[in-house]
Amino acid sequence: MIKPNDHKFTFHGTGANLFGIVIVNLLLTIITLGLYYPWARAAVLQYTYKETEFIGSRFTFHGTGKEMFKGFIKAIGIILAIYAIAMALIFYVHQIAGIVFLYLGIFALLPFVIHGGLRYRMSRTSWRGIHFGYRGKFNELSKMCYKDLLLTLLTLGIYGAWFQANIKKYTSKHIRYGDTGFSFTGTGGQLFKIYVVGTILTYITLGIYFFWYMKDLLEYQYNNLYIHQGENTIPVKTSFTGGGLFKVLIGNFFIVLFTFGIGAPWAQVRMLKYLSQNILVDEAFDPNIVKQTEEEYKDATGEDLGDMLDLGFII
Amino acid sequence: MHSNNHIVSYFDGLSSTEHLAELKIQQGALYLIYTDNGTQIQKIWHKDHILEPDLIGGKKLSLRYGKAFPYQHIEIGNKQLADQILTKFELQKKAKKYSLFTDKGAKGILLGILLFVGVFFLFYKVVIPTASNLVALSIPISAEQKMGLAIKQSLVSPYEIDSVKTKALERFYTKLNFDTEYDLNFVVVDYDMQNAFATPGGNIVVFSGIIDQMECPEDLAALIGHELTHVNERHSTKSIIRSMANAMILSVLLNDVNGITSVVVDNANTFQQLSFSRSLEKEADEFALEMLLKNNINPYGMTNLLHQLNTPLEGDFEIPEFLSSHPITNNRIKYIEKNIQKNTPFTISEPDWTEDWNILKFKDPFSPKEDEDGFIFDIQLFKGDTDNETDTDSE
Repeated sequence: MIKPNDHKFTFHGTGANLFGIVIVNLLLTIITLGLYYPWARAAVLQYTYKETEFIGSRFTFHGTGKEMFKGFIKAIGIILAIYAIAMALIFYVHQIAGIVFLYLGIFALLPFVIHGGLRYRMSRTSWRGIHFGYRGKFNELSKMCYKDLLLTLLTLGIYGAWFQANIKKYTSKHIRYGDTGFSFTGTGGQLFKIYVVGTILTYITLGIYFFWYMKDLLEYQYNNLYIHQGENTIPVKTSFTGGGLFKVLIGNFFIVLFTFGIGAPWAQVRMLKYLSQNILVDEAFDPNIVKQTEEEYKDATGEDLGDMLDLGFII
Repeated sequence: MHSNNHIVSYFDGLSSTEHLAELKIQQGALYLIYTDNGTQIQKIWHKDHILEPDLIGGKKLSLRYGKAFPYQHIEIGNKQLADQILTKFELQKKAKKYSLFTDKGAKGILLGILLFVGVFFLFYKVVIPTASNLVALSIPISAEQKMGLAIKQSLVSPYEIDSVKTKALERFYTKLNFDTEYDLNFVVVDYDMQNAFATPGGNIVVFSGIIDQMECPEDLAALIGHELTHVNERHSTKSIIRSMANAMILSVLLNDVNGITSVVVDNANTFQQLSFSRSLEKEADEFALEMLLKNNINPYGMTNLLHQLNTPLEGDFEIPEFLSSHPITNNRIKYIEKNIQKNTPFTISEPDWTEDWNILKFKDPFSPKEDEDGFIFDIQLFKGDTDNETDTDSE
């Protein structure tokens, strides 16, 4: 239940300000033939973080274009190497060998993307001067990833829901905000049910149920998240509604459509405002007792790889 | 002094406890005084170690301080004080500004859009094409040959190669004496399809169907000239690199934009690719004509060839030019005729190619493929299919 004193998030950003950042990003990205991209991404992340307020203080993303550029170059190198080997196999060995290698190569990167991406993103995020951190073990995560990937393939994708739940559970358990911990209690079964019901009802209702499907997914993601402060277990809550999501998403669709994409930053801000308004932390959370515990970590390769391969959604 | 004393939020970097600290600016340093558990604590921030000044929303100033992680942190809600600190400690440049465009309101936004559209078209239409041509030309011929051979093998493998006609075509080509730095590799495929294509590095594949359709050796010379131009001018390599460069820049741009826009842009990009492909086909026609004229071969072979391609098949339809990888055949004939007229009079002194030509025109009366029903449908299907290939240049 939501209580009146539960802590709220507020997003203060405006479409115009985000547009200003995005347009400069686009210009410089074109002129530099893409090399500016890491700085562009850093600028957008910095902006969205610092405009997000929680209990009177803003979040900060400390990552810089320079750090992300180093990761970007490494990520390009890794992806090019995979493609080059795949191409060589296609031309000199067999087409299928090359395609199989390409998929295996990208799958093999998954634990690295999650692990490296979270370590970087968390370490470079702070609130009230206290940094987040990720303490997962790469070996544990990759064992789990490869096992679950195999099961997902063998079950023709059905196990995917359990795969996602397992990753979420493992990563949440190892995310820290100073001496504060997290946990995730969602199960693969719950997620699978949401997928099945959501897909079927979306078809039956000719798409109308889609917004309630989104609501179920968001609730799964946040309502199963808990914060551990000392002995206290503090729930994260949501107040999303299908109608609210309908209003935001349909509105955004028309904003983007009628402005030929120029309105995208305004649409993005509407979404961020809606998301932050409807995620709450139970009043039991004490913002004043968190101790700094995490170390700095500045290698952005995992973050950049995840972005390039469009795997960001996993984090 | 009153104006120098303000209350700000202070975080010591060790815990998330918010301390309301009194801030003073004195002699090139910030003084922060607060009480913790009844003890008064004073922190001095020296100018050199003040980090990451950030004017959030143009109102709230956030600053960090320290020589190493973890850093102390303050948040200042008073805009006047924020400006005063930024000026005093020369931090204005470091403080992240939103953007030169949004500071000017609606005018700035409009300016931003216009500038972006201008720069985008300059790059998309001029810079990327020029750069990708330069890259294509810098790829060594040996690399092109390897790639071209692999493409050729995968495309030819489903068909039967006519080795007698292949030999005849090789001899025919040698007699033409066309200029090229490539070592050409010909294949005649025994299949009744009106098509021929070149892959990078000098592999030219000709289907027996197109030779059967030809009336005289000049037509074949024109076809070879056209395909040879694709090879000489590295058209396939240029197309591949251009489409990769375009795809890359568009994917970077569209990353933050939503699905609808990317569909529109993707389609626009396809039209652009098709238009590029048509311009390459035109170049191949024009250079082939030059080769014919230079080697004293009747240039009307070129128009003849196109007329034969244009012979309507039962139920055939013409794809509109803007959807096609090749210019409309009638247009091709028109610009070639114009070109020939410009070069009239021309001399004709053709090589002795009759013997090879006869071998190439020889039809095996026992070939089973010709009498099959529904064959015409097959041709149309393939015509459409091969038109969309990006890694080969047909006809």
